[in-house]
Amino acid sequence: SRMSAATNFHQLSEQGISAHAWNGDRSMIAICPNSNEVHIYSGCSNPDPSTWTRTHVLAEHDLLVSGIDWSPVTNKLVTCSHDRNAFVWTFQDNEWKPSLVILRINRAAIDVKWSPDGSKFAVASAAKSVPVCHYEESNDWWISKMIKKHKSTVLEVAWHPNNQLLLTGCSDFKCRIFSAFVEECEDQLPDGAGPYGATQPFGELLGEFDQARGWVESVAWSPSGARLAFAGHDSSLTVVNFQGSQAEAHTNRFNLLPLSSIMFANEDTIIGGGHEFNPAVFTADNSGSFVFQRSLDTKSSAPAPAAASTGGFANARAMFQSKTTRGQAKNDASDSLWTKHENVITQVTSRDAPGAANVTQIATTGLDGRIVLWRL
Amino acid sequence: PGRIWVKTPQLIQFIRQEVRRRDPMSSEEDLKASVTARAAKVSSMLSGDKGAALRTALADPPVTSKSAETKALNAVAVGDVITACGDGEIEAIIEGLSDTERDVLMKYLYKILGDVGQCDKSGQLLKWHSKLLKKTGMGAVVRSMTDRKTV
Repeated sequence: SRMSAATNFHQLSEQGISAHAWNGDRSMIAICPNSNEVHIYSGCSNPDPSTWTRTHVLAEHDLLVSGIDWSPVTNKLVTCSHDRNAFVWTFQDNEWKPSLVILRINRAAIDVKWSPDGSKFAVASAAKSVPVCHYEESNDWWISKMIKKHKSTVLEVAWHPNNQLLLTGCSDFKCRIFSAFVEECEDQLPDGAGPYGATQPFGELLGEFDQARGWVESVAWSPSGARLAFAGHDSSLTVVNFQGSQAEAHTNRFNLLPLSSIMFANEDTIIGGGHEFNPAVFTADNSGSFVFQRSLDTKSSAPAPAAASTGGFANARAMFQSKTTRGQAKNDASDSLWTKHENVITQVTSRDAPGAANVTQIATTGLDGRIVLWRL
Repeated sequence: PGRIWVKTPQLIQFIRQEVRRRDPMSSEEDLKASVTARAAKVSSMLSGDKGAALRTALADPPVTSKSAETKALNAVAVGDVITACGDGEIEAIIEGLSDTERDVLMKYLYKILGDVGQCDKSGQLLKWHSKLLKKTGMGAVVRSMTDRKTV
């Protein structure tokens, strides 16, 4: 039988995993088991997740922790929650200490991402805004600057490698690019440093894409920053290629159920996980559009065990029961849930070194509480 | 796929003004007229190539129309082609449709199935649905649910 690309999986939580993040060398993982706590596991270099040990529990939030990110540069954790708060955690004296973050949002926070250099982070919130926070030494807190201009809940944010452009996916069906230049953190970039030339003022809307006909649930930049992709809830994947000041968009409306989380494995490959419970690989063809290549999870071709024949009456009874519960006469084993994930995949992350140009190891978590490790 | 301009706020405003100025189909009367003309054309094609008739009916649906009657008129044209086809012809006709046309057909199947007044067609529609689903997968069904521009 053909081997599935999954190397290992484990039930980390019974209630689902709402967010996860790896540390820089991928030896530790922080997850939220669909509660207000964050659990940190170590020993994650071991390919078997059942050997990982839980070393810390962070319990500062009051409601569901919806986003976690771990900066490989500063080793700080940032968590955001439906309780409208975010915390930045620093590891000191063998424990994680939270720092105050002034987010200034009056609705839930949905997603949080550190910028590539770890000096600031952006939070996608249901308050139709994206606060971008940086550290203020004089008061020992993280203070926010708001990016508005969204018409509805912002579902995901993604930083460009140049540390200044921010991509947002919103439930008003649009994907937008903003400048998130914070002068306290960095210098202005010269012309040609990215798709939009020289540094623009903070919060300036640089581009808007409306190819999706559903919520834009996930957004991502390619490793070089010359491409961006966003997945819409209308089962679409749009990729925009930048050449100088020109942008070219290609939309693929595919046959599968929608994707919830996408990432670039390299410039020409996108991995997406979503409602199929099965990560899908999309690769670039000659014209620059991305087409569905394969699903990572494959059914093993081992034959289903033959049902024992127990007599005419039992068989007839089973047939009628099957007709009423499943709508078909026989209990076909191929209809049962065969994928490694038994519920929606909500997050796909890389297990290779941060910023790697070609990712071959990924991890997926979902509403079923499982973490599955894949090798491409 | 095509080249698009990077949409700055100024460009978005300009595009909106231009669309309002140039679009000949923006008025309800024009949309209704084109739908009526299309319905007549489709009826005349029903005796001949049914695949071409369906493609004519599915081309350019009046999604921008705010009138329920105009949309219903187009749905009737599509429904007429569907009921005119025999069971053996369904797969071949679906095969000849493009991906966009299949998405639009899925939307119309759900629209007509949802119309209680046309429940006599439901047997035929369900046959079309299962054959179309085999071809398009669940993506077309998701799109018929999420797309704000309804047929």
